[in-house]
Amino acid sequence: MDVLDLIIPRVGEMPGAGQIAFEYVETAACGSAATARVVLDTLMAIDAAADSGYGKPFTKIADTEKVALLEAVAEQRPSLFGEFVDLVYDGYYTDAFVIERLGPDAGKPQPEGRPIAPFDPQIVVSVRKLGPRYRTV
Amino acid sequence: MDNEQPDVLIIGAGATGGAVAWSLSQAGISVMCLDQGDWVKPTQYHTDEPDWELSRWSDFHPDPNVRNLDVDYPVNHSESAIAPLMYNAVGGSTIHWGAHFPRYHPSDFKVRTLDGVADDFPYSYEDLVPFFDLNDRMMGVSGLDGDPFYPPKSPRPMPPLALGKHGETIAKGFDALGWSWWPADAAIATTAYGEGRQACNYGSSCDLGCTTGAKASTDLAYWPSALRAGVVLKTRARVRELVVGDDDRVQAALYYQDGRLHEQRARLVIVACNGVGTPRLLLNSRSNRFPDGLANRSGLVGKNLMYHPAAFVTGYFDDPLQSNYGPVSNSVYSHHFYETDESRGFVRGYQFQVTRDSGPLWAAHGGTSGGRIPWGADHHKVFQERFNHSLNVGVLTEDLPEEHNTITIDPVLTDSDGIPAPKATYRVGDNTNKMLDHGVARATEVLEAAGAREVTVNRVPKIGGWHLMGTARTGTDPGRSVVDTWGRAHDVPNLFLVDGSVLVTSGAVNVTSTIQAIALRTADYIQRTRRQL
Repeated sequence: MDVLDLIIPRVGEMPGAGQIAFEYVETAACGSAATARVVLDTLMAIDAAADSGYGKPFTKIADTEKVALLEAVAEQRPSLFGEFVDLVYDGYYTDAFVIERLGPDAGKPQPEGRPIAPFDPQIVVSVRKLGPRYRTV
Repeated sequence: MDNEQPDVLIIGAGATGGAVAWSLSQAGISVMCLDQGDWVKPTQYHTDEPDWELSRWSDFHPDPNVRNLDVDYPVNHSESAIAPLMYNAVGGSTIHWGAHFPRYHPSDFKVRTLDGVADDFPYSYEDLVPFFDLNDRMMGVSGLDGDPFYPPKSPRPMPPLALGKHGETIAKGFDALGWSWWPADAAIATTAYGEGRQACNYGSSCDLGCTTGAKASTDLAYWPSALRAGVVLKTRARVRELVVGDDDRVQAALYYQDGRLHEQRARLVIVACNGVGTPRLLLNSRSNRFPDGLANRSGLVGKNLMYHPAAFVTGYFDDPLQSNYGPVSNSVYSHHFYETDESRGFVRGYQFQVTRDSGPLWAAHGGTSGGRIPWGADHHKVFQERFNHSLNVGVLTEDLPEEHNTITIDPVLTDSDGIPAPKATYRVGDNTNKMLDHGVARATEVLEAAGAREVTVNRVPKIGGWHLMGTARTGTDPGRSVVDTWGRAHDVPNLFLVDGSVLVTSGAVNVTSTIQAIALRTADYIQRTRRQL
């Protein structure tokens, strides 16, 4: 959860990913060997970096140092860390509580659709004056 | 023999297979169609579910290698700068397309004559106009009369889609620079149309399936009428090869269905499997008569693979733009830089296709810009700056045919029925790279003129092979082409091809309108000459 809260922290009314996406990540890992591999390898990389850099578990490191550690892991293992971040985003931005916080434009597009003003033909008045623009053959 | 023998057997029930099946059936010709995919029901679309966006990375991912449904086949694109994208179903790739519906220009048919590169089609834009118009009515096209980029077209069947704040913003940019633009022709209904199709409700999730039926796909636009006229459509029927006789005529298609191999004979065979699937089928149909693949005495089956290498230039604006209000691929478009101007340093040109964005997850993953929103302390701030504040100008370039860009048969990879899979080998050409440089600079210019505070560029994304072209090209010389002016294989008298593989040039536009018109022209030819075929 600490790691997830550093990926997407709690800011104002927006919750952190630790609260929102943990269950999603856990369920996804249980459902797919490939996803489990991403999660485990990322956590192992983080633990290894904590051990080698600080001589203690990640959870015992100061918060300011945790961010730097994650940044280092992201730099050393960009593809793996990127997949992990994508997974966290998947869980966060499909959560009903988060969608509600983001407002109606973030909600599912169907069946309501989106309200939009009809086409105004006045908008092409200046373009019509430019005349045709195709090559005759 | 498994079944009665139809007059015509069509392989593929997609954009062109559906159109041809309909056309031939209206003339009383007996038609059977085989498709390896199945019907897609609107209940399979997820866009009314809370986690709807996840389907974009799973069962509606455009790359069959990622999607990996049981009806998909793998494509080795490890040596292709661009991955071929397709969807296997009744309706084919029209199930997941954006329905942006421009035609080829008159000049696209005479590139050799006009600009000294590529080759000419043996027919012209004017030859196709009746079929363009027919297809516009069948698919249901919305648009605005007076498009400056084409000779006058027949009245658009329906009025144009709304542009919304997003489209109006970029229109101001074009106007400020004095560049021509127009609301795009779209195969999307703006009123009730056809059989039960509702008007678009601007949900911006076209690539994940259209629940209202507003977006045209051939399962809606052509297949109902074709089936009523007696076409027999067999789904989950995957063709392994076409068998040819000593007279160089196709005798039968061998196909897998329900775990068994079947044989289907017909008098004529039409292949409509797209610019990857068609050469794959032909190359997998080797015989003593055709040791290099069916209809391949020219050696050109699979060669001259063309995509539309694209760059997506994204502008971010201070004001919210309703970026996900409306069809994702249909807004403003411009062909201001479409035709050759040699002072630019390259030949031919490109299309600007303004596209919208989607939901919050799409934005977080980077959207069209491809740049994931950063994790960490600034995540929410950047998200608020980008979500619904983005505007994309897609630069679609004309690709020139080059024989080293190919579809071949992979030596190892197979599909789930053991049929050898295709391999795409492709690199972006020099002319195209220069064109992209120019297009990116102009797209940046128009976005800044429209008020963008930040512009990013996503150049030739790998997931970009929406249009598959050129791999069984048309021509009058059997030594330099695979099919003749009517789509008939030079080497195989009862074989016709009707998809993007027959294109001689790529144009710089989305191809569906043009390949459907070409297919309808082929169908018309078959109707008129069937007794001689």
